[in-house]
Formats: sequence, structure tokens, C-alpha cells
Amino acid sequence: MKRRQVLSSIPAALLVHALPASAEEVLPIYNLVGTFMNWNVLSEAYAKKTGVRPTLGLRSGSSPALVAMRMEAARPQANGSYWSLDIAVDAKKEGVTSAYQPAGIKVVAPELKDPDGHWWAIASTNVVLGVNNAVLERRGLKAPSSYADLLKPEYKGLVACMDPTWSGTASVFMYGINFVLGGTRTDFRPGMRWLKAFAENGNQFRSELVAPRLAVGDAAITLDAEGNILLSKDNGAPVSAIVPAEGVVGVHLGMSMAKGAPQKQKAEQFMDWLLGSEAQRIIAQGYFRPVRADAAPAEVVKAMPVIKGAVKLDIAHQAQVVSTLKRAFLEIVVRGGDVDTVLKRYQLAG
Amino acid sequence: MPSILLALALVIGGAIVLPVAFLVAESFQSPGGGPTTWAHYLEVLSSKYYLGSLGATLLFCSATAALATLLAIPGAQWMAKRRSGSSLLRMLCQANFAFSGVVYGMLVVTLLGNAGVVSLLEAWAFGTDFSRGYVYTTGGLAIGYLGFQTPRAALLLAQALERVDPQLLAAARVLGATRAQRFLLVTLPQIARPLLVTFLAIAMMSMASFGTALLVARTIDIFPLLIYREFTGFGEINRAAAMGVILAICCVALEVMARRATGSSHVRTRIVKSSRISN
Repeated sequence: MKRRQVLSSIPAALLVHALPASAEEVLPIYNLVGTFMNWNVLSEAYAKKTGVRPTLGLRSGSSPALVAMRMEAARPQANGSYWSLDIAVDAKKEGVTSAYQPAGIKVVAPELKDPDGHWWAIASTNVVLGVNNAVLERRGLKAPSSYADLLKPEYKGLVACMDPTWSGTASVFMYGINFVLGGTRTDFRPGMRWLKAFAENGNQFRSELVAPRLAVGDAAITLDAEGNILLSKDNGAPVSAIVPAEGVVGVHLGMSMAKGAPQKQKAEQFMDWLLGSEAQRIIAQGYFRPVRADAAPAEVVKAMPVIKGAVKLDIAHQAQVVSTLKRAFLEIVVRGGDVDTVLKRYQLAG
Repeated sequence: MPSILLALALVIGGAIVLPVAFLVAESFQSPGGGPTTWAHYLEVLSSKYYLGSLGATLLFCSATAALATLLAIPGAQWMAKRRSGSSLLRMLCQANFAFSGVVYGMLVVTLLGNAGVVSLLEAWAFGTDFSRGYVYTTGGLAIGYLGFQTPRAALLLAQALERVDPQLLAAARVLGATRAQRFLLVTLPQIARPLLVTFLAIAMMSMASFGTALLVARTIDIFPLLIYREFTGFGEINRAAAMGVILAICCVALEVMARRATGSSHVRTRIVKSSRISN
């Protein structure tokens, strides 16, 4: 009898817990990946403050978000998206975004926002080396300090990076590494040679987020957004972030409003909030670099790696070539094609 | 009764016919809504890469499905004869359905990945790391597939095995057939068709499976992954649709071929069986 009473109280208890949640309004926004850039904290804080909860984990990845918005153009399901800015440029060209000038847009540098308001940066991050010190120590290896190190036999098969065909951050890295290693806007051979050699050394382009894999030691070394590595460290994983000697690729991440957003006003308020000091501080606490640099607490600033040799990327050019570059990447790196032949065919070999 | 039929028609129409019609329509459209075109099909069918991937996927899925069907026989027999623990075994097999492809892929990585349980045990016991990252090899991928194929094959087979006529077995025993003879000459002919049907069902299910491949396939270009990449990575919706239609046609063709094959072999085994028994 007692057991039955306990059991029968479970649905009621669940209901009580579910009630406050059902009173909340849900605000669908694409590509807010909970474990990336502190989105779970951002979403929670916004829900607590306003009773409107931005969705986490709808369409993970900048490219999947864009495809979804294209497919749903006739009847938009999401109010907007978070993505890397090159994809945002593409999205504007595809006509799936709409113009909005959020409050606080003045703090965003001119090259990091669309003059018409179709996209704007809210933060940036740098792709650096993450190392799991415990795994390296067990193998008697020193931590790598450069991109060149990752091609050495001692690190064979130990490195993981996200797959640039779905991850916006990884696709910016695929584009940017070329400029770090001496390539130009018309000659992508230096970057592609390195990417190919990286794969030929048994290293991997993964389809899952690599930070959790680094934390558990599945990957001994990663190429990842610095914040993801530092957050794992905060959570007790034996990892550290290392700035590669040759230079660094920075990734700008931003927001767009969807054309025909079903909850336009609510979404605009959320976009305003994201550029405000509260959200910007939360972003900084996830070790991403908010566009309001002064929003970052001092202890966070101290913990961030010092970036030397960051390359300046032309977002418009990146948007223009990134799709072609992904095709070339698949042919050369995944399928083992010849760098010169393939890039010449795509007219990216100088 | 008519209301049930109506519901059935609605479900089939809504969940199968409509999406398939949409897929087919998309596959003939030019990007951006231009005129109807065969171009996406021609592109895929004239590409060595896509065809190679399709062939490799078919081969890989058939091979693993065949192996899974064979591996499933002992377990299926155990369940069919309701020996002790068979309901537990059945439950374990059914639990397999609870895992989506990606979750299952993650399980395999946890077991056989770079920091997998197996490789950690190996390093602890022998100080070596032969099994590190095994999951990313073709063998590792096969283990990943077998892991979800075998339990499902066992459930399907068990159903068929329950229907094996015990009287025939008894008769064979009375006539002095050994255990091996009884299995080869009585049971096997009766389950030949279920075996084939199981193999087919599993092969087709594997052709559509993609979560496991997404996480661990490195050596084989699994076709569903290529479709996914066209779709989400490049936004080539029409080409992805054409690839989907091609994959579906391949599966249906396989099914038709196999049905014909089993139809005739079924007849043959029956004749063989009756002649043996009458001897």
C-alpha cells in the first residue's frame, strides 16, 4: 500500500515541477549549443529574468542552421540563429535573415556587423591547441607548441579537430590556417597542405564537439575554441590551452534575425539582451571574448591565453569561397586527393 | 472498421507517401526553383565517388548483416526454446532499440575509442596500446554495426524459430538422425527463408542507419553520411534528395531480388525436405 502511494505521487510531483516550465514561453533560436560559449547559462539566465526561454540544441552547427532556415523559408520556425559570421553573410545572400539593429550595436566594430543589420558579432574566440596533460604525461610526451608539431610522428593519431563541413568554428579554421601558414586569398595550397599532412598523421576531424573528448582523454590534443578548453579546465579536467607559435585563427560569432520570425518582438528583446553587459559577462565567464571587452571580469581576463600573431580574416571573402573550400577539403583531406591538382581545378592554387 | 482503415490510410499517407513525394519532387528541382531537371541524378550516377560509396555501403551493410544473422542463431534458438534466462535475453535485445544511432555510436567509442574501456584495460594489464582507436578502423566500424544488428536479428529469428515444427524433429530423432543431422536436414531448411528475410531486414536497416557511422566511420564512405553532408554541410538540398531516392531504389531493388531468390529456394528446400523425410 505504501509503495503504491509513493508511486502514485510521482506523476503529481512531476507535474508540479513541470508547471513553472510550462508557464514559460519558448523562443526557438537555432544553433544555441548548450556546451558552447556558455549558452546553457545564457539561456537559463534569460529564462529566469524574462520567462522566455531560448531553445538549446536546435540545429547544432552553423551550416545545419542555415539549411534549416532555407528549408523553412516559406514558414519560418525559428526566430533567428547564432552562427559564425561567414555563414551569416551566406544567410543574408540566401534571403533568410531580416534587418535589425539591436540595442548596443554601437559597441560592435564596423567590420563585424552588416550595415543593413542582417548579422552582427556578439563574441569571438580563438582556435588554439588544447592538451590533456595526464594523457601526454602517461605517454611521456611534451606538449606540442605549434601546428608543425602536430605533424610529428610522436603525436600521430592523438589530435582531434571538429569537421569543417558542419562546424562553423572549424570551417573558419580551415579557411584561416592558410593565412597563418603564408597562403593568400587566391592560393590555398599552404593551408591545405598542412590540413592534408595533419590527416595523414592519423589525426581526426570529428563530427562531435571535441572539448568533452579532450577532457576524458579520448583525444590527447585538440584544435578548439579556447573557451571550450578553459571551461573543461574549470570543471577539473587536466587540460590546458596553448597558443600555437605560427599564429592564431580568430572566429567571430554572431546573431541574425530570421526573416518572418514568428515571435519577432520577443526575439528582438533577446538580441538586445545578448549585447548588454549581463549576457556579455556570462559569455566572458565561458571564456569566450565578448564584443564588450569591458564586460569580462578581471579573473577571466587573467585566465585567458595571450594571443600573438592573430591573422585578420576578410569575412566577405571567406563567405564567398568557404563552400568551394569545403569541397576541396573533402577531395584532398578526406579522400586523399592531390593538393595542387584539386585546388587548381577550383582556381584556388594561385 | 472503416474508421481504422481511414486512420491507417492517414498514417501511411502522412508519414510515408507525402514525405516521399516531397523528396522525389525536390530531387528533380534545380536549386533556387528553376525548371525540372535530371541533372542531380546524372551528377550522382556519373560520379565515381558517389557510386563507389554506394557500392561500398551496400557491400559493408550486406556483409555485416549476414554475419549478424549467423551470430544471432544461437541466441535466437535459446529464446525460441524458452530456456532459462531467455526472457532476460529478450529484454536485453529489445533494450537495443532504445539507443539511437548516435547514442549507440558513443557507446562504441566509450568501449573501443582512444580512451575506451578496452584500451585502458589493455594498457593497464599489458602496457600496450594495440586496441587504442580500434573503433575508427573498418573492423571497429563492423563491430559497431554488429552490435546493433545482432540483437535485432536475434529477435526476428526467434519469432521464426518458434514456428519450427517440433514433430518433424521428433520424427527425425526416431529415425535415428544425429543432432547435427537434425539441425542441418530438418531445422535449417525450415529456417532458411526466415534467415534470408532476417538478413534482408537487417541489411536494409543498416543501409539507413547513420548515427554510428557519423561518429566512427573513417575508412568507408558510408552513403547516408554523404547525403547528410550534402544536405547540412553544403545545403545542396536537391542533390541530397536525389541521393536519397537512389538509396531507396537500391534498397527496394535488393528486396525484390531477394524475394525472388527466397521464393524459389523456399520451394526447393521444401522438396528436399520432403524427400529426406520420406527416405
